[in-house]
This record gives sequence, C-alpha cells and structure tokens, in this order.
Amino acid sequence: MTRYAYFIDLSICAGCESCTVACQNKNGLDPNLAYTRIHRYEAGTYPDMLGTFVVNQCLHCDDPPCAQVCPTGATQKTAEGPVVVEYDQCIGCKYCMVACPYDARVFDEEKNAARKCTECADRLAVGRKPACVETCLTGARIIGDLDDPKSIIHEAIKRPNTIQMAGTGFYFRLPPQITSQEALADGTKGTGVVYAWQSVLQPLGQLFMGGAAAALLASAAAFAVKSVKGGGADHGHE
Amino acid sequence: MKAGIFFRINPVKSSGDSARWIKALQKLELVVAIDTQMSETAMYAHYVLPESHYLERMDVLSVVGDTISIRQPVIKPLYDTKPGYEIIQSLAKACGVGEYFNFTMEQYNQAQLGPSGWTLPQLLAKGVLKVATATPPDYSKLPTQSGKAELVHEGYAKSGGTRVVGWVPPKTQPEGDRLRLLHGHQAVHSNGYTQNVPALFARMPENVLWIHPKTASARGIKDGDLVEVANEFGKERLKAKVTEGIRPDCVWMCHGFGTMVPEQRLAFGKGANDGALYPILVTPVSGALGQGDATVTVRKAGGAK
Repeated sequence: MTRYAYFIDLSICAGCESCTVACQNKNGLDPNLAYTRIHRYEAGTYPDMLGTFVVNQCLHCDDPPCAQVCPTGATQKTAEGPVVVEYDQCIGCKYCMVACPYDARVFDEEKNAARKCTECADRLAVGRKPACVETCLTGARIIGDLDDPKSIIHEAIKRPNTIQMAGTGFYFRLPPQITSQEALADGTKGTGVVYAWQSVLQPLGQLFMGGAAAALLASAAAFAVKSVKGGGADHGHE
Repeated sequence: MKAGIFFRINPVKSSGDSARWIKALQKLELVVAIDTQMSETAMYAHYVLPESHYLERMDVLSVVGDTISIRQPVIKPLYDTKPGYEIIQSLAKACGVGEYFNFTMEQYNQAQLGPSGWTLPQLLAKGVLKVATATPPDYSKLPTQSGKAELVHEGYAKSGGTRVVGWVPPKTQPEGDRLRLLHGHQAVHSNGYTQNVPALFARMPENVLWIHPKTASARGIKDGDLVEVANEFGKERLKAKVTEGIRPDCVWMCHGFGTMVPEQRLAFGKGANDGALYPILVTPVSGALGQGDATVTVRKAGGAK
C-alpha cells in the first residue's frame, strides 16, 4: 500500500515562489492562477519582530469536504492520498470552492472548472516527484510514502517544531519563533491557513483545558503545545 | 572618454544616481549596449546589440574545485540574436583585431577542458563532470592565509586604506523629516532583470516601501497608499507597506523595479527605482559600489501614478 505524506519546512522556505511557477508550468495554468501560494507573514513589534513565509494550498484532506459536496463526483480522494479531479465531469458549480477550508481551489474561466493541486499524482504514479518538490530551492518541500520504511518522509516529519495538519497527511515545520495561532491568523489574513491552524491548535487546547480529568493526557497536550511553540520569544499574541 | 560599450550591465538602474548616468550617456559620442533585453541603459544607446538568452547560447564552462559544469543551449534562438562572444568577435573583426578572437565557443571550451582528460561532447552530455585528479573545494575554510575572514590585512593598506578594517561614518544621517533609504532583494526576482517575465510579474508586479507604523502615521500614510519618496537625486512613487519589520528611522524597498523602458510592457512604470535615489558612490579600498548612503522624505502622493 502507498500512503503519501507531504512535508514543508517553513523554517527554510526562502519565499522565492519557484514552487508556484513550476506548478503553473506543469499544469498549464495562467500566471494569475496558482495552486500553491506563498504568503509573507509578520508578527510582533519592532525590534522584537518575526517575518517569514507560510504556504497555502490543497492539503489533500483524509475526508475532503470538496469531494463530499461535488454533485457529479468529479472530485475523488485516491487510496494513495492525492485528491484529484476529473475535469470532464466538472460542471463549474463552485460548491467545492465554498466547501474547501483552505481556499485551495482556483476557478479557470477558460475551462469552466474549479481546478486544484493533484499532488502531481500523474508524476507520483511513475516514480517522479511533484513539480513543486523538484524545483524547491532550499529543499523545504518533501513528499514520501508513509508505508515505505525507507522513505525520507519519516525523518522529515520528526524534525523539531513540526505539526501535522488535522485530518490530512500534511506536515508543516514551523519557524522557531512562531508562537500562537493568532499570530498566524494576522499574517494569513483570512486564507485557509487560519482554519488549518485552528484545526490543529484548538483540539490541543481543549484537551489541555480538560486536563484535570486526565493528568497524563494533559501533560501530553502541554508537551505538544510547547513543541509547537518551539520556545521562541512571546510577542504578546497569546 | 568618447564611447562606452555596456555588456549585460545596466548602470542607469543599478549604479546609483540614474539621472546623472543618463546625462553622462547623453554626452558620449557612441554608446553601445549588448543585452538580452531592452534595459534603461540600452534605451540611451546609439546601438543595441541583442544577445541570445541564456537558454539559447553556450557560455564559457565553469570550474569549482574538482567540478566542471557548462551552460549550453536548450533551444534555438527565438529571435534575431547572437551569443555575447559572437557579438564581441564580430566587433573585434570590424576593429581589425579579429585574429585574436578566431575561435568558436566550442573550441574555446574544448581547449579549457584539455588538461582534465574530458571532451566537450562528454561535458555536453553530462552537464557536470568531476576531475578525479583535482582537489574538491574545501568549504570549511576560506582561501586566506588564516583560513578565516580577515579584518586585518596588508592588502587593505596597500589599496589605500588601513591594515585594520575601520568604520567610516555615512555621509548622511536620518534627521528632521529625513529617513534613511535602504534597499535589498526578494527571492522572487533577480536584480533588475526579471520584472518583465510574465510568470514572475504575476508573483510580484511591483515593489513597495516598507515603513514603520509610527513613521507612517506621522505622515498620514496608511498601508497601500501611494507615496512619493524624494531627495536631491530623484523622486519616485510606489505603494506603502506599513510594517513592524523596519526601523522607525528607515524605509526599505526591493531593488530592480520602476522600469523606465516602455518595451518592457508588463514592468514599465511599476513600482520605484531605488537607483534614482542614491548617489554614485565608490567605496574606498574595495572600489565596490557604495549604496545605502542616502536619506529621503516620504509623503503621501495624490492621484494616480
């Protein structure tokens, strides 16, 4: 069995957006349509200030809302992980665009289709890496098979300050200074990444609040929150 | 000085005081620009000799330690252009010194490869080759006597400085309503060369002026406002980005924008040219271009650009 997981090391993303352009070239997209987008994110006040990059794209949900709402079944979750679209069957109703928590769909007027990243499923099928992974300047993007013990993905997702996005096979290594979901929300200005971070951090927070009932779980949660925070300076966003 | 030939260099935009460069070029009897695109400098040239793009031409091979690599054409030239060396060769011939340039780039690279034991077809096939008898580069130390970055060196004294690298105060200070102008690069674009590339233009069509919230509010500037940045060298307009990521007494912009060339249809007039706001400053000892020694006023600009 193959189960793809995708890892992005935001601590070394240079913000060059080569991934965006390589993806556009591979998928024949107009330069104004992008499956993967890089946002600059800032938090704190001068001089105690952080500027870094966050990535916004399809996270290939385990149970994708876009596939659930698709009236024609054009969007499908594959067994290997990628969420793919049969464009012949897409009627351009845009339900998927509303349903997507990550704002990952782009509407192609010319094709009358709500297009998206397929994790380059066609390339993966022939043993190649996705265009974004292949081109990444700093090696921040890594894809691998969780069921393959030799895959580099195992080492990647164990790197410090790495979080798994809830309900997905997507992992982000956060820059060490990132301290809170509010900070991320400021920086991403209502993109799907806000939802993403909420979906990761809120369940952890709830677990922590109910900790009196299960001290062991609480300490585990506290450890998880701490590891997400990575010991960086608190910029007053808590 | 009567003539200037500019080969893949655009001082009007990248060497400070754009207005002074333009005046200087206008005084020359002959200005020739060899470039892959119409640059600001080419705009003031009497002759523009269009060079093939890097994907269309073969360059001189490069060697790092034990590794040889080559940039070779992957497509035929799309337009009526020539590789840079052919342009130089033709000029040499016209000047009556053609015999010194009587070789092709293939022959030149093959001659360079000679001692390595490899042939040009092998290098072209592989792209990158190792030379077994050569020493790999040692990145653990610098090629100095001490192996470290040397702040004390006789060479500095011999070049007109002192043995010890010293602090030279800038000529300007951010005082009154003046702010220091800083500039830099963002990874999306390469210097001033890629602003008109459609895919990169879509990612970053213009630069913005980073300005601290306190500095901005004192001038009635809000995020996204069009502002005018001015000093004794020039006047530029671009949008403000109000951010905590800059000192309150400084402003910052990305280099390479404010394209003055109408032929660069996408990039023309987008953003601001930092080069228009700096003096032409040659740094002592190194002779490098000194940039960053300028202050500017910033005010909200009315109307569209």
